[in-house]
Order: sequence, then structure tokens, then C-alpha cells
Amino acid sequence: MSNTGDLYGRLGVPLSATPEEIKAAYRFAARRFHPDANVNTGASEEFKLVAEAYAVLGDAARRAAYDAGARTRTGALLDTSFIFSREILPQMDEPQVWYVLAEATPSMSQPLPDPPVNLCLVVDRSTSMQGARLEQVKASVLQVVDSLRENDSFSVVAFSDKAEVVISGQRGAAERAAAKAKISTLGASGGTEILQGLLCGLIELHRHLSPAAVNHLILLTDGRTYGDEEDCLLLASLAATDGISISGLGIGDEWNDKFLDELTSKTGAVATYVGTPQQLKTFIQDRVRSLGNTYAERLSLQVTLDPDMILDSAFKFNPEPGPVAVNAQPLRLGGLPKNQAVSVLLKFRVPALPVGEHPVARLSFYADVVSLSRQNDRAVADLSVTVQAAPPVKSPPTAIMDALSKLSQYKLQERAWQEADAGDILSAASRLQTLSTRLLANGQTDLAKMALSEARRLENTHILSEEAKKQLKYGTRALMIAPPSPSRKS
Amino acid sequence: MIKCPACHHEEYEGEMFCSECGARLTGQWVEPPPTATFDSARLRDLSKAISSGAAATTTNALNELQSGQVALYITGAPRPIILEGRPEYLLGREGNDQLVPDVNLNMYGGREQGVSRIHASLRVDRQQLLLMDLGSTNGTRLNGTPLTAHEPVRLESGDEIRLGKLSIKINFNL
Repeated sequence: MSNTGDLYGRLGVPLSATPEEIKAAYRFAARRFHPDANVNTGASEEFKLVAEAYAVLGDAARRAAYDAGARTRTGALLDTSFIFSREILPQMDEPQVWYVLAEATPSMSQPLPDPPVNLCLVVDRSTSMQGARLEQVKASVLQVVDSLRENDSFSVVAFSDKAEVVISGQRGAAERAAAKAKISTLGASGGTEILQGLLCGLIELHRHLSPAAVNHLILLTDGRTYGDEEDCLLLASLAATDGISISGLGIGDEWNDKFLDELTSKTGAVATYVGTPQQLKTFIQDRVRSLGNTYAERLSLQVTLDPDMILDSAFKFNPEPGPVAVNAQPLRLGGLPKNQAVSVLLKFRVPALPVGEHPVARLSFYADVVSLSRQNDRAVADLSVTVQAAPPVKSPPTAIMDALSKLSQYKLQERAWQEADAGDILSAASRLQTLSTRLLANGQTDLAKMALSEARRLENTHILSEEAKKQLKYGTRALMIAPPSPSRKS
Repeated sequence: MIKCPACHHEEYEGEMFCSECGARLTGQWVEPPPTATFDSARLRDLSKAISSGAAATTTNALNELQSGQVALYITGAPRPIILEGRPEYLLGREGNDQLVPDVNLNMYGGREQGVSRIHASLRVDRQQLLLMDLGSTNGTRLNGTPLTAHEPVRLESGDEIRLGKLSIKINFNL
């Protein structure tokens, strides 16, 4: 069953709206999204949705029929709320920045059934995995096999220069013993070609692919892949379109964090740094458990901008912090756990505007509510700013300040590595030193020490430590997890 | 555009943290706290009142300071601490956690005088010296005026700062 948003929501009017109000709302919405006036992504689709809604609600007889039918439909399954960096913008003759912390939460809080999970673990078995790493992987896989429920499906792919299916789409308890025996024979050899593993893993997932399930691939690697990065990224985009998300677990210090971040964020998931092999079991266990606790999967956010508005960047804070690419719409936000929220910080650039209220964008969250077997649920909200000549001075909400303060630390380390990569060692070292000061100011003594010692090291040796880089990157990212809770419902 | 108070990098109106140095920006949305507005004229008078007795030392020291140097005169210490070559210095005292600040005030009775392990920072930026309290327990004062934590203020050569009860006179030639 598809539910692309209530017709009243498309026009932005309440159920009690008069025919005149509906007509006015239609005119306003049509002007915002008319293809002649708005060339932004999604605008012409939104225009069609608005026209469709008006065709029904603008006609008394059809509206009455729709209202009668609405009583038997369930309401939206996603709740949304928003916090703004500023309620009112001062009038200026230059662009301004406007932050919005957007949150989607399950609208049902009663206990819901756990969705079926279609999971594939793609394991790097290159020579470097020899020993503790591979042993920990094997132990983790055995644990996952034991935790499977009757309608879950689980496969394991091992790859080096080539890939092989170790366990294929296993379902139910009958095959468990055989699967466990096969896992224990896994040995390490060869190089790391991630594309091989991904391809093989995605084929396995396709065998049990279902829009009513959580379809997920966990990529576990400790090395760099060479020459096939572009193909891997393309494959990830295709996987996302098919409804599969890919998360990454990077073990040790040799793996390519930038690549794994990009790959996973294309599907709405994140990459995680696993410092020691001993942590692997916990990470895999947590990941599998959270997949089984999903409320809605394939959560995405379509940001349909009004003319002249710019979406500069986005960063996901909950449930797992990570960058969100804004160059391709919709923004992929991954899974929404039961009793939790997915929150994403959006940075808009607003042009010089006259006094008055101005629409900025229409935000449409889409998701498959897998715990209720409902697909393509939509929740819509319109964002607008009020511009005044001299608005009263107000400090920004704590949730936004907190989020931005942590994001700014994360961005500092990111810039330091960019500078170091470009050969500007002194700038990188001084940037890390600044980061250290900020971290100290926020009480993060351990990370601060790490940043400071890496700054000193960089100054002295001019060589970047991959270990410090990953610890600082994923350390500053982990600081963001504390859930900022909206103070106000929109 | 708004200017970062710490590093003078320009950001769009509405931005809250400097993308260059991570400092909190004071945009029009911030209610200006009384300590953030820096009345230099009043403070200059105060500093003269405090340092009039030590005027001779100041001149001498200034003559000796080379370009890029910052001198810290700690009450009771025979010689000043000379800082140079870094964009930022951490002031504090060595604790159990092995983190040694750039200026370790342990040997000047920092602990007894209420200096925090991570007390304040001095930052050199475009011939200016900026002082920022890093959320210390007993606070930082500039010429007697308490500073707001994490909000940098510009120093002038000859200023007296106080970390907890420990008084330091600062001269610099940038």
C-alpha cells in the first residue's frame, strides 16, 4: 500500500479549510513549484502532486468522497519536528545562513513486531586479516547465525582478489550446523578487491530482497581497494535504489576511511572504526541487533527548494552520526529505530529578501515502515522564514548550538587532514592545535591530548599517523551521538 | 558577513562557529554579555593604575623583546617567560593526566593560587594577542575584569591578567 501524503498536507491546509482557503493555498503552492518558476530538483514532481490534490479538494463532490474514505485510512506513520537556528531573520542585502535540525520519529510507540532482516556479511579475507582479525570475524559470524530468527535470511561472502559465497541465503535453524562448519574453514590469503565482494554480496541479498524487510550489507575490511573505487560507488548507488543499505566496519588503520564513508553514505548508512579485533564481536552484534529493531527502513528526505534557496550541506546526527551527500536527491538517511529519532542538520543559504514571510523548501520524508509492512510512507512539512527590519535579539536554541559546536570540531579535523594531504603540514598542525583547544574547552580531555600530540608529531616528522587520524575523525564524530531533542513540535 | 572575533575569518550572517578556527561567533543573534564588550579606554586607565609602579620594567622589557615574542611576568618570579614561534599557547598547570600545557604554572605556585590544569589560551593572530579563558574553575581576569569563558579578548602590551589568584603581566612585540 502506498501513501504519498495526505492531500491536505500537499496543499498545506487543515482538514477544516474552506473552499476559498483551499484555492488560495493551491495558488500559492502552484506558484512555488511551477516548472517555469522553479528549476530545482523535485519541483515539477511536487507541482504535479499539488495539482492532483487540488483536482480533488477543489471539487466539493470529490472532496466529500475523499473525506469519507480518509476515515478508513491510517494516518501518517512518521512524525516530524524541526528546530531553527533563528525564528526571524534580519533584513540584509547579502545572503544569510539558516540551520534547521529536522527530526523524524515513529508515530507509533506501542510494541511493534520486529521486521524480517535480509543480511549479508561481506568479509575481507586478504592476507592482512590473518590471525586475530579473522578469528574474531569467525566467532562473530557464529554468534549471528545463532541469533537468527525464522524469517531472517543471512549470507556470508568472503573476498580477496576474488569473492566466494561461504553461506548462501540461509534461512531457519535446519542449515545452521552446516553453515557453522563452513565458516570455520575460512582462511586468509590474497589482496583486497572490494568490488568483487560487494557484487557477490549484493547478488546474495537480491535472492531474498523484499520491500517489507531490512535489506542490509555489512562490509568488513582492513585494507584499501585500488582502481575499483568508482565502480564500488556506482554499485552502492544502485543498491540504494534497490532498497539495500551498506554499512562499513573498518578494522585497524590501513583502510580508506574517505572511501568507506562515501560508499556507505550513498545508501544512508555509516562506516565505523574498529580499533582492535577484540571490539569486532560487539560491533557486529550491535549492528545486527539494531537491524532487527528497525521501525522504518530506507528513510529518505526530498528537499524541494523554493527558487533562489540553496541547500549547502547536511549532516546526520542520530542514530549514527555521519555526513549526508546533498548533491543527489533524495538525501538517504538509513533506518529509523523503534522509539528513537533520525535527526539531520540542514544548512540553507537564504538570499537577500524583503521583509515578510518566505517559503524556503518543502521537506518530504519517505520511508518503508517495515515493522508494519507498509511501504513508501510520506510525511510533508513546509519550511519558511520570516524576515523583519530589526527583529528582537534572541539566542539560538541549545540543541542547534550543541549540534553545531560538535560539528565544528569534526570539521576542524577534516580540514586538518585535507591540508596535510595537500602538503601544507604547518597549517594542518596549527589546525589540530586549535582543535585541541576547542576539545579541551568542551571537556574532551582524551581527544584533546590526541589532537595536540598529533599536531606536535606532524610538526616534527611531517608524516600523518593513520591511527591518530582515524581516532580523531571517529572520536569527534562519536561526540555527536547525544540526542538533541526538539523542544517544539511543528 | 560577520567576522570571527578570534581569527577574523569572514562568514555568512547566521553562521555560529568559525569554519577556520571553530570559535563561537558573535552574530547579531547574541545578546552581548557585559564582559564581551571591551571598553579599552576604561581598561587602559585601570592598567595604568595597577602598573604605574612597574613602568620602568615595562619599558626595559619592551626594548629587549624581539619581534614575535611575548613575555609573561609572573609575580614573584625573577625572570619573565618568553614565548615565541607558535600561534597558540595553553596556560595551565601539569596534572596527573600527563598533559603538559605550553606554559606550566606549577612551578609558580599555580596550584595554590587556583590555576586550573587547562586554564586559558593565548593566541597570536595578525599582530594581535588574544586571551581566552577555557572554562577554568576560578576564572580569568583582564585588568581586574572577569572574562566570559570561551570568548576571546584582545590584549595590549602591559596588560595584567589573573588566572585564579596568580597575577601575570604581559608584554609583547608582535
